[in-house]
Order: sequence, then structure tokens, then C-alpha cells
Amino acid sequence: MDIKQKILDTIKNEHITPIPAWKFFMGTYGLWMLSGVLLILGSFGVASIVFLFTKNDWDIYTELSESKFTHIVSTLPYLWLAIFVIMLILLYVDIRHTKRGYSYTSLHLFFAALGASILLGFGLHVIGVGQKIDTIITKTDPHYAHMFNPRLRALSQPEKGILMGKVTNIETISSTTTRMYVENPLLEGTWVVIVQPTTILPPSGIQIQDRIRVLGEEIKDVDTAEHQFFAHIILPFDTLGIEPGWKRRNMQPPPLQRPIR
Amino acid sequence: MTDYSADTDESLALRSTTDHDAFGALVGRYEQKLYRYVRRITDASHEECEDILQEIFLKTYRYLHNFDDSLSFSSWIYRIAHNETISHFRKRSVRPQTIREEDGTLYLQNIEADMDIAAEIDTKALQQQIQKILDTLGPKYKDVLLLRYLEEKNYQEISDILKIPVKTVGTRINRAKKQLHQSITEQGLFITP
Repeated sequence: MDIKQKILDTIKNEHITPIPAWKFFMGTYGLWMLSGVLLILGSFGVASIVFLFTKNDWDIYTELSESKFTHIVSTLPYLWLAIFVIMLILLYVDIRHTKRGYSYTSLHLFFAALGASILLGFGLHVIGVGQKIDTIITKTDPHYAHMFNPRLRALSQPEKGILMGKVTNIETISSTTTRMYVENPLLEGTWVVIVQPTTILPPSGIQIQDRIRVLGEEIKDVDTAEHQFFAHIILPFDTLGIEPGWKRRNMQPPPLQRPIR
Repeated sequence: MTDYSADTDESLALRSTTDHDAFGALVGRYEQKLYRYVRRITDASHEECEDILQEIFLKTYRYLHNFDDSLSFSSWIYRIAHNETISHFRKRSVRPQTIREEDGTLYLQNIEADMDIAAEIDTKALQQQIQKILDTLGPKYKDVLLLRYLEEKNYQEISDILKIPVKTVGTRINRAKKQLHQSITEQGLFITP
């Protein structure tokens, strides 16, 4: 029997039928949809990295690190970078497995995936997605938010004269002293920030529930169990990080500019 | 019996999902070519080659709806043939590949023509030497050389069959030719400048 007839007989006798088109359709479009999802997830990583980079305390980096370089290295969002790299690799592999994925050279495919992720990531950053992601993570899990945003740990070093946190209460003790109660998820207990007339305050003042950054010094008071921090400068937490004018002009910090509301 | 001689492979593939005779016509068109191809990329016996060929056509039939009409049908079925043969021999640790006696002349003629190897030297001796050298090349180089010089496929077709970029096809062919050139020169066989 010739092979042609043998094959036709096998098809007939074993009731072999072509696999339905929709299964291939699902496979093909499933891979492209997965590519889209991976691209978006990778772009979220880029948007977050860009957002965190712009908010990386450029106004006080000299207080946090020895140089700009060490500041960048110590506050790089490595977890987001890892997520971005993993998504990029998966995207590369996924596109490679699409119907015509083999026809692109590795280099072209890699740079196309990288370029698309970065472009989309910048786009998402511009419309505020990076900030939104950071807010969601900070609100959802404040104790682990520093893993995504290392800046939070860098700003939680009272022993080095830097503290950040959310203001939970403000008490005016006297005409010259105000106590602000600050919660920091990475530090134990409530911190009492002592504000005096020489303390530089944000132009917009400070409200309860505001997140702030404080430069100053930790007060080691053995008589009280309170964690106290004497404030020299209080800065808003969310800032583009423009260096304050007094610092640019190499002046002494100005006196109290605006009372705490 | 319908006459399919005027139909292209691609239109036959489309009709084959509902028309067994159309598929039979496709089998008829590719039976010999694919049998030869399977024989060329393995050292399988006649019976084993027929078994593989049957697997190839049955898989082609099952996957008819997956045929990408941006490819030529020939490239698509050669791809299936290549993959099925590889997976058939995956059970063995290696896929034996030697150039068969009957293919030797055509293969070597095409390579020689491409590499400007002088015709005036002892062709038989040269062919034996080249055959030995070709046998030492890795499978990825042999696969492209075989498709290029025995199956006479162009770079795009080889790219579609082996699922590698066209640029990689070119690189592999050039590297294989370079190795061949080097070995020929080292062995004192003359190549025209």
C-alpha cells in the first residue's frame, strides 16, 4: 500500500480531525495578550522607578549620603528594578514564542522590548501612575513599603539626624515650643518632634496627617521613655526636591517663618 | 477524482480541512521530497523513514488550522518535518547525521560552486575530503547547509523552517563555509582566489 493511501486510511479509520481553529487562535492571541500584560507590568516598574528617582530627596541628599553617587546607589529601588528586569525577560521569551517571534534577532527583540517598556513607563509616570502605585503600597503595607521605596529607610535614621513620618498630633507647649507626634512604620513607638522658633517649616505649614521629613538631632533623654527628636528643618514629604533658597545661597536657616496651623 | 493540479499548496491546505482528497493531493506532492529530507537529516532506515513520514503528515493534518498563510506551505511542512524528525530521534541521545552517498555529489557540487573551489583538481578526492569535513560540522551548521545546498531553499525559507532569524541563517552558512574553507586550505586542497 502506498504511503498516501495509508495516511488517508489512518485519518479515516482513527477519525482524526484537524484541531479546531479557535484553539490556535487562543494560543496566538493568548501569547500576545500575555505580552501586553508583561509590558504593562514592566512599565509599572519603570514608572515607579522614575517617580521614586524624582522624589529621591535631592534637596537633602548631602545630609543622607556622602555623595550623589552613594545616594543614588543606596536609594535605588532594587525591588522595582528586579521586577522590571524579570518582566523584560519574560516579555522577550513570550514574544520569541509568538508565531513570527523567531524572525527577530535577539538584540533587536531585546531592545524593542526594553524601548517599549521604558517609553510606556515614562508615559505612565507622566500621568501619575508611579505616584499612585507608591501611594497604594505605602497605604496597604506601610511596614514593608520600604522594600519598594528604599527612600523610606534612608529617611528613618534618627541617630543620623533624619526622621520621617506621619504627624498624628500637634501640641503647643509654650510660645516657643511645639511638640509634634510622628508615627514612623519602620521605627518603634511614636516620635516626639520638638519644634522651636528657629525650626524652618514648610511654607504651607503642617497639618495633622501630613507626612514630613525632619532634619535635626535625636534627644537622648534617659528620664523619659519618649523618643524625642529636635527639629532644625521640617520639609514636606512629597516634594520635587528643589534645593531651598537659603541653602543655595549658603545662608543660615531663617527663623520660624509660619506658625504651625 | 478531482484534479488539483492547478491549485497552489496554500489553497490545497485551506481546502484540506474539509476535503480529504485535497489533503491526499498535498501528501502526493510532498511525499518524495519529505522522505528524502528525513533520510538526509538522519541515518534512519527506509521503514523508519516511512514511519516518520506518516507522523509528519498526520501532524500536518491535525495542525492544518494552524497554518500561517504568511509563510509558504512548503516552509511550514518542512518545519513540521524537521521538528518531528528531531523529536523522533530525541529518544536517542544524538541525531545521527551523515551525508549519504547518493546525496554527496549534488551537495558537494552546490557547495563547490558557491565556494569557487577549482574544478581542475581531482574532483573525486576533493569530494571525499569535503564530505569528511562536513561530517565534522555541528548539527546547527549541517542543518542550514543541507537546506541550502541539498533542498535548495533560500535564506527566508530556511529561517521559516528552522525558526531562526534570517541573519542567523546567513551567519551559520558563512561560518560553516569559513570552517570548510579553512579545512580545505589546511589540507592543501586548492581554492581559487
